[in-house]
Amino acid sequence: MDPSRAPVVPADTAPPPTDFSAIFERHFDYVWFTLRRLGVPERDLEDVTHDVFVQVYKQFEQFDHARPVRPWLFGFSYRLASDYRRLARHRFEMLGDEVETIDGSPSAAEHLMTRQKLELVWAALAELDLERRALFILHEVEGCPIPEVAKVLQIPLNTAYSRLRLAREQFAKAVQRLRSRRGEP
Amino acid sequence: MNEKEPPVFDEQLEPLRFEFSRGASPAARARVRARLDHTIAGLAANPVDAGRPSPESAPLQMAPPSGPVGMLAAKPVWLAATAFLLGGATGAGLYASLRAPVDRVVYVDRPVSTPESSAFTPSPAALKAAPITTQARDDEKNAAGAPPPARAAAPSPAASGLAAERALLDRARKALGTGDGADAARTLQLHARRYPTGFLVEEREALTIKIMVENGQIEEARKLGLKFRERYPQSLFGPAVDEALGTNP
Repeated sequence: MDPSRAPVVPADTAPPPTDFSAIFERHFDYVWFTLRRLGVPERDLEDVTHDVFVQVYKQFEQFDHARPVRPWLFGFSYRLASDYRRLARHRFEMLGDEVETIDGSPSAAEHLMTRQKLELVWAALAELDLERRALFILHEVEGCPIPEVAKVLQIPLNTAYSRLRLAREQFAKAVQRLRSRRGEP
Repeated sequence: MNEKEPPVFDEQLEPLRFEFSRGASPAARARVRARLDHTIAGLAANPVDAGRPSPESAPLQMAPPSGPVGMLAAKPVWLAATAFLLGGATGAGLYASLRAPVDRVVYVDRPVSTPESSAFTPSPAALKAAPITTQARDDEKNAAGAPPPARAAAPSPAASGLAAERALLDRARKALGTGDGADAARTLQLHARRYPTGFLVEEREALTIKIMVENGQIEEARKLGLKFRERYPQSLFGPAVDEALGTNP
């Protein structure tokens, strides 16, 4: 990734926390929104977030503090989201269902516009299968380099590049189609 | 695809930045934190089941002053102080009356049918490096697959089963990572016996193939790999299976 490019999710520049409680406090939002983007619906987010942190707790001693913590947390989130989707495979994915109100918007119009844009991103992400979506989020949204992405997702490097290419194409087409459906340019 | 391509999705993905900057609901955070305190208190009371050492030797520093964990930690001190002040029999009696009841952990074996599902299981013949030993049977009692203690947060039965399955497969993967193929295979056999039609059968089968390759059972692994690909053509574990079998392009 181009070093000059800022990730969509602000980078975590603080040193990794050395205790579990600090990880929870600092990265709760990260895990929450990661699971959301990986397709866990709002109604089950608390359950799955809880399960992610239980796994983090159990494996905390294996965490290499020399490495960034977010990709490590993403790995847990990805696996739990994958398990969840396997359990809930009979359900339709409803990204954006029952979303809690986004507080503090300067105006109702801005709120609505932001909400519509968010829904478009969610809908486009939902068209990617989980493995492509995970890779796309890690790389495009969070700015994680592809070699690191390959490690987190436990896939060969070439597979990661190939999957990235397909995910980008699929996401771009989905955005274009959804926009034209809404009458946007 | 070259990583140094100019960004093309910044505009589309910008709303995610906004969403993240708002943060999750504080109420949701508090609820998850409370549940987590509860669960960790249960795990700390049963460190073997939790798959981690006792809290005394662990570097974990869950904030003790608040939540159930803090209450549990503070109670013995309070009881001791009370006993000291009231003295002798009064103190002992008070201690006995106020002492937190000891949790009873009841292990219930889930009835398991004969593994006749379409999914293959890692049989002793297939995994020749993995004889079932008394250790494996002990593991069956002690593995994280045992039900969580009564005090832990009460997840749904499906969620508990999934967590138990997950713990077993994690253990097998860890054993494989440390080169202990025999233990990895034993753990997979344990999973196959306990969860012949479990949620994570697909992942177990993928791991089985990997372990067979590690154990040098290449031909058997290839045959199982073919079956795996037929059964799960879109599997998330397909690339890992291909890689283990050396068929990844």
